[in-house]
Amino acid sequence: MSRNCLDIGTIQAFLDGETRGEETDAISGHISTCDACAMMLADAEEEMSFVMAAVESDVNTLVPTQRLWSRINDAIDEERTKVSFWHRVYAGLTSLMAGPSLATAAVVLVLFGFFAFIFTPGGGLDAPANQVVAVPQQTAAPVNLPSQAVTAPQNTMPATPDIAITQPEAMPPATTQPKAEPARAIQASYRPERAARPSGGDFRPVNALYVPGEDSYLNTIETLKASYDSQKDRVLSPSSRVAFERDLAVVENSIKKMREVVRKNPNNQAARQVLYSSYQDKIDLLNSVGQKEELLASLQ
Amino acid sequence: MRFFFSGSLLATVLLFGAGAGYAQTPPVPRTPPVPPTPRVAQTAPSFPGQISDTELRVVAEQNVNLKFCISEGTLKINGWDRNEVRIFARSGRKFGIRVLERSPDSGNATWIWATPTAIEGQTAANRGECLSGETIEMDVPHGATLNFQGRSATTSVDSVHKVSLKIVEGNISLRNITGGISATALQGDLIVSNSSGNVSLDSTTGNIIAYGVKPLETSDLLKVKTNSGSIMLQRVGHRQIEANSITGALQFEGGFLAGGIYNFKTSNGAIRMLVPENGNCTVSAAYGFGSFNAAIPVETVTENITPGGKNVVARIGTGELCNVSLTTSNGRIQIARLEPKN
Repeated sequence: MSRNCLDIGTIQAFLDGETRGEETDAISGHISTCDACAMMLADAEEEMSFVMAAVESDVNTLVPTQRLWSRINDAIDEERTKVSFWHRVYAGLTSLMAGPSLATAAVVLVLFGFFAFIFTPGGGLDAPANQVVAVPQQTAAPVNLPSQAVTAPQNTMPATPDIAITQPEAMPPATTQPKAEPARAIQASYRPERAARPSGGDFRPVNALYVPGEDSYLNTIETLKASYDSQKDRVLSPSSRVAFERDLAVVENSIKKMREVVRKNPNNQAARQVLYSSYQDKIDLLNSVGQKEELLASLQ
Repeated sequence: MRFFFSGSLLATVLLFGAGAGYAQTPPVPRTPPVPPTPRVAQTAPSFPGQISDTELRVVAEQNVNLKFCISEGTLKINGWDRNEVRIFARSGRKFGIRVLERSPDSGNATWIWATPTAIEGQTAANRGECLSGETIEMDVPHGATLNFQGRSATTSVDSVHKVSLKIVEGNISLRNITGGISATALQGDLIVSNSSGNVSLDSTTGNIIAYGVKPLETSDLLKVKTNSGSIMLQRVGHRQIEANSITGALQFEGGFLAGGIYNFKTSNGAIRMLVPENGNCTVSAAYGFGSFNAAIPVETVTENITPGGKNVVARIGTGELCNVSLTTSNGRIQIARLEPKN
């Protein structure tokens, strides 16, 4: 140990960071050249780490408290600086409008939007006030159809001319309906999916003159037919389906023939009776598929 | 002025940018909802030891109700004098008899249910509720009521009180059923003999034969319907009969009873009535494109012959005791003489 060796107090102050700049440099320089002081510094560091390990728990308990206070203080500061959304928007717009170029762009955009609304077809002030009336005009169009327009679907059904003449009588008088434009009338009235159906028992002609009770038969058949179409693939085996389709064809043929007879002579009671019987046969046929599916489902 | 030009230029750039972005944005296709994956019906797996001969007995009341389901096999049910139900399945699935209800007086079973028993590894889903076997025999009291369904089964029932059954595929033979029948055979013939009560027979593609059938009460109805099969009714004692075949023929053989209401319909099949000529009934025949022919003496009351629809009302005897309605679209209606048996 030399005479210039540091005492333990100085070394402890150096470890604690209590020395100042020049003094710290001098201590560092001396320790680098003096083994004895280096040994003393190492001993002091070891003692210090030991002491710090002993008091670590006490030190850490203080930290959360300080952090908690700091969070509380931060939250208070945030609340003080918190402003509403509209205040921020207002502040943003104000800052944007401070620039003359941006303000001019905003004015041009607003003017453009205004004129676009005014002159857009079908909207704004350009739309006619009575445009809503167009919807009922289209629904009333079938009454105003010329006779040539309704003859197209009749090509697939055996309709007689006298029945076609009686058709308008079943409808409300045409004079009570608002007069529609011819082009719109044709677009709204023609139903190609109806006309494209094959002529058979389930064909429901638009202009058919139903005998009393026939309409209810047709409604029932239409419902059952839709149900049958959804069931036939999973319910009927190929052989059963062939037999079923054959029976159905027989019944539909009977319906078709008897309906022609009834149309020609609506007073033919025997033909009506047979027609109703054929309708009932068709209902029973279609219903049997549903019953079969029900039975198969109960046996699952 | 400089600010005006720069602002206008900025607005133009923004507008073109927005328009170009709108034009180039492809329409988002609406994805159709993914259909749920269909649940595939699981076939019942075979389990070792599942197929065997099984015989079970249970003491039952005379009027016991028996319900069960049969998936396949030949089913034979006989009535006997014992107060006991015996079920035997040859080479079939093991089953059990559940007593659903007992008589409060005797403690005998009044309602039982025959159903397969679960064995190890089976769940309720794959066990099913239907019996199966090469042959299933049942002996039940004469007063028993049977209620069962079947998928593919040749069925014969003899000497029980009442039967209600539905079979998808297979012929059905019912004999000596005293309290009524409700039978449906989707693919198969239906034969009923020597039975009584309210009778309803329905077949899709099979023939229906009923003979020696009579009512228990006056109001009992005999209802027979088939789509493509033929119908034969012989020695039928019901006063209310509805028989309907679409493409099959229909034959009635027997006498008309006083107060009877008979309706026979076909769409494309012939209607043939074999009746004694000394009856008293009014016959109304409506036909579209068929024909009407009476081989016994009838008195024509009204006749309306028009193309496509004919209507004939005729009397057999005085015609005041019953009404017969015959309707066909394309079939032939024939009334023939039934020769009296010695």
